[in-house]
Amino acid sequence: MFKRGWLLLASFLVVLTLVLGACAPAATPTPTPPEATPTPTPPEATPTPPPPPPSEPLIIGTTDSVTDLDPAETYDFHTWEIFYNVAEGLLTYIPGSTELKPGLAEAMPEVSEDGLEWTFKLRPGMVFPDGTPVNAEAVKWSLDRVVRLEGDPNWLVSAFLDHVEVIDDLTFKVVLQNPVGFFPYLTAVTPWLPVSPNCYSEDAFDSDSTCGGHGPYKIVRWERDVEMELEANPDYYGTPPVWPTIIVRYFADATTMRLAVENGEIDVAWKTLLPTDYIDLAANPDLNIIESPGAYIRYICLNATTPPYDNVIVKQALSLAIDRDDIAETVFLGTHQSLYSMVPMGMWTHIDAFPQRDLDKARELLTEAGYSEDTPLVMDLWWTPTHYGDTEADVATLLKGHLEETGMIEVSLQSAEWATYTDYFGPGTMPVFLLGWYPDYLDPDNYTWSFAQSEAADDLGIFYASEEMDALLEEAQMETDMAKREALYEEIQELWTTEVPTIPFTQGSLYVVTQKNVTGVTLAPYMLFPYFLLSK
Amino acid sequence: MRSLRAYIITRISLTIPMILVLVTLVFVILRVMPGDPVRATIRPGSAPEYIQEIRHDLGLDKPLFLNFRGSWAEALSSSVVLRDGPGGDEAPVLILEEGKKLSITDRVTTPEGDWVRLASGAGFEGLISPQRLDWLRRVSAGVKVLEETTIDDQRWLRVEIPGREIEGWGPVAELKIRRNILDAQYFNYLFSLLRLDLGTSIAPVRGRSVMGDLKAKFPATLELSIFSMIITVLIGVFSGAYAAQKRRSVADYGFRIYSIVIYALPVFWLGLMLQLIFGVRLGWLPVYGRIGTRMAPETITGLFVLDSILTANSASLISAIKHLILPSLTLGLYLSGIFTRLTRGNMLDVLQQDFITAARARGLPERVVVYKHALKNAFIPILTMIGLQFALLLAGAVLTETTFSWPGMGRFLVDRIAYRDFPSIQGGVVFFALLVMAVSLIVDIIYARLDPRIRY
Repeated sequence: MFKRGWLLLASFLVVLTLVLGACAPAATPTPTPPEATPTPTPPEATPTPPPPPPSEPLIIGTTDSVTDLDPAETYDFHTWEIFYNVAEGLLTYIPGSTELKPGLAEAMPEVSEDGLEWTFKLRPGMVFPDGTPVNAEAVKWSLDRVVRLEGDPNWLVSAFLDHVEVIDDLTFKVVLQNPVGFFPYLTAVTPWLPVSPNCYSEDAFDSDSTCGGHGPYKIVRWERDVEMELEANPDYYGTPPVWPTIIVRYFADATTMRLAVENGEIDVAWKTLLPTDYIDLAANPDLNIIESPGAYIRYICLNATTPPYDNVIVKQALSLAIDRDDIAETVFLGTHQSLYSMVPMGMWTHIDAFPQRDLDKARELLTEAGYSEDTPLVMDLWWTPTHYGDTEADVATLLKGHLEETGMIEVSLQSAEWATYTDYFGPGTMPVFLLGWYPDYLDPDNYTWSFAQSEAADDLGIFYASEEMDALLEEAQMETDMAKREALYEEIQELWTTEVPTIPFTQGSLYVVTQKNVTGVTLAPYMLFPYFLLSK
Repeated sequence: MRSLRAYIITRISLTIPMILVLVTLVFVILRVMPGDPVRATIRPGSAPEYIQEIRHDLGLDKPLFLNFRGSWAEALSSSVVLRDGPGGDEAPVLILEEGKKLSITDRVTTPEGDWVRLASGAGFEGLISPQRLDWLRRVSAGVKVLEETTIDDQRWLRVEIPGREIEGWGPVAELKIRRNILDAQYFNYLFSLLRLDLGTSIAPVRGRSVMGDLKAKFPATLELSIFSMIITVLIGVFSGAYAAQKRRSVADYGFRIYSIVIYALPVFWLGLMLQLIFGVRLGWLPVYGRIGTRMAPETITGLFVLDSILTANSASLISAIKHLILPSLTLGLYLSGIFTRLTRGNMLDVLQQDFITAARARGLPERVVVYKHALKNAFIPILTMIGLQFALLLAGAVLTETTFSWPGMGRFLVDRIAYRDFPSIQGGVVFFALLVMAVSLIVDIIYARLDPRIRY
């Protein structure tokens, strides 16, 4: 008996390790998607907030999870969303739009002539939940801490910030290394959030800290992977949240979350259900589905150092051969839209740069590059099974079909789990592979630099390098005149279609499923969900 | 009883080689499979220096099994210049002063001799070249320059860098290398295991104590396992006994078919169906989680049912039991088929024995004969099976926990395996092994109590 017991145990554990290794769950959520119909709900315009209803919580379900509750280390959308609700930036998004308004700062900053020095003045009398005053010293401390601790997102501060100069208790100057055209947007990004020097550790990450910053809510209870309870922050300077208590519940799996919203256990099902769930739930009379444009894009990466992808003609042919509409409709069931530029639709400067599908033109280009039906281009197309959700296998299969329709390409699909996939970037193992991108900050820079700037592209396994592109990207980043920047980004998007560092194919929308009585759902391309406008 | 004690001690000491074998196996499998936990967790496209630094902090840059390249290096002369690459022509980066020791992160052999790469670890104070300073200023804002000196016609700056580490290559000939052949990932892990330290996680969140995470998740899995086992045994034993009693009846065939079908059903599908029927259609039971919002009782044991009883909190108790029903039914039903068949087989054997005939001859009611005399005797092999099935139960818990968003160890391991979080996976395996060992030990002890013929 004992022998068998150990054997059984050993084989179970080994099989467990192997099987799960091969089929484990996703890190980042699945898609969602299309239509640029912004959601209802007036932003800030709630005139008199209703008297705080009883303490019954409003429950939001999600399949995402919190990583580090520390703005200096966290780098995922869900945790950023929690911070968006429990801490406010110097500037903050007007809910439902891509415009900024003053947050902790009293007014928009004053910028010096050379674009290097930005002067902010804080609202007087604010305190962090632990009672520490929100002042210029605290802002400086928070930013210095992000730079010093070098967490994952630190580059969002350290690549731009030179230093912070405290002028008086509430006034400070942010001095940049170079002029940055989109600097105001950075101040709304999580690593830029001021936090309490008395609550966060000076020299280590506080992954389980519930300190937060100065925002509409504060965290009162948190159990990792189970739930988080937020309560209206009585000290908040602005309009108090509409619903005083929010509970975020964490689900291991999208189907369970769907069942929970169907039987009324949760009020809101947020990221991310499967595309089929949205279609099914739309028929349920007890639920509302709200859709909004997102800034989540999908694209094909091409390793520019691996022949034949060093030949722009081949890459142009590929971009002409894929059928974006087919992917959006067949795989994403209309929750994604076809995308013809790396800069997503709805974002400032977007143009439909890439041409529409044209198989004849694609064949012509392939012929020009020396391929024919007898000597086809043989391609390994890589995809990753769980990171982008259950739909990814279908995406890859459809793409294979589209490319092979030219008759001059033979595609073999290859897949690897996310941990392996990312490992292959550096050595350039994958000649052609699929990726997705969520914005760090809402500027075209974030959608172009990482893929086409010659040093950044190496880190993603694209290895694209072009002096012309580098010069354009750098100029666009530093330019502060918006009209000039717009022209530059249009030029970049045009150049993208001839050089083809990557081939964008779809853009996802955001969907929220709620019970009929829930109001105040406000979504925007910055993709962070303002819990403080919800009510039921 | 003395012999029992000796037996227990032997059993416990036998687990040590078992765990060693398991850990080694898992260690090798994890390293052989492609995938890098560091890259899986950070943003694609992070700078290689940054990745290298994290790997160094975590000890992942050390050799896997045996370390021949050395662990630490000290300068032999008053100062050794470390360079940007292995070779005397490379740009100088920093000076390794006498008395300072840096850890070795790589070693190569060049025509000029052996070179090692040294890393300062976080927080460096010493002399660096002005070029290096320019680079550091770009990536790190906290650099403080203390003084400027000239050594051999070259400018050097004494700096203090709080966060970032700094690296350089030095010729082995000029260094004193401290070598410890066991300073490798595998042995370092074993040594910390000896100190009961399971290490800290790598991904998706860096630096969390694996032991702490497992402790937090364990009660949830234990609670689910206990209730599932109760359901399994109740359903399995009684259906099996009944089937044996009514051998070749419709009920017998029914239970035999049931036992095969239920075992063949995918456990997550069974869970989904129960959720759909009792959660969504009928709305009787919750479909996810361990307990209602804000209902968690004060933590004493971490088992919500027990804690609610201990704190006399009836609302929590009801909520905890309601949440337990569907997941434990899912898991319990899945394993009950095995017990049905096993009980039936044993009962058939026992029912043919003389003492049963004797009992019947004395005119005892059939129910007493079957459920009192026969079942008691058929129970011993079933008890053995409970110990064995425990491992299977844990495997089933992985899927059940995901289906019901149950915050236990199974779900935790699935998450971590996706990220190749070596320490968490290894720690989980060790934990599971100890658990299975403990359960089968307990079963053995009960076994001896139940059957006076058994001696160890």
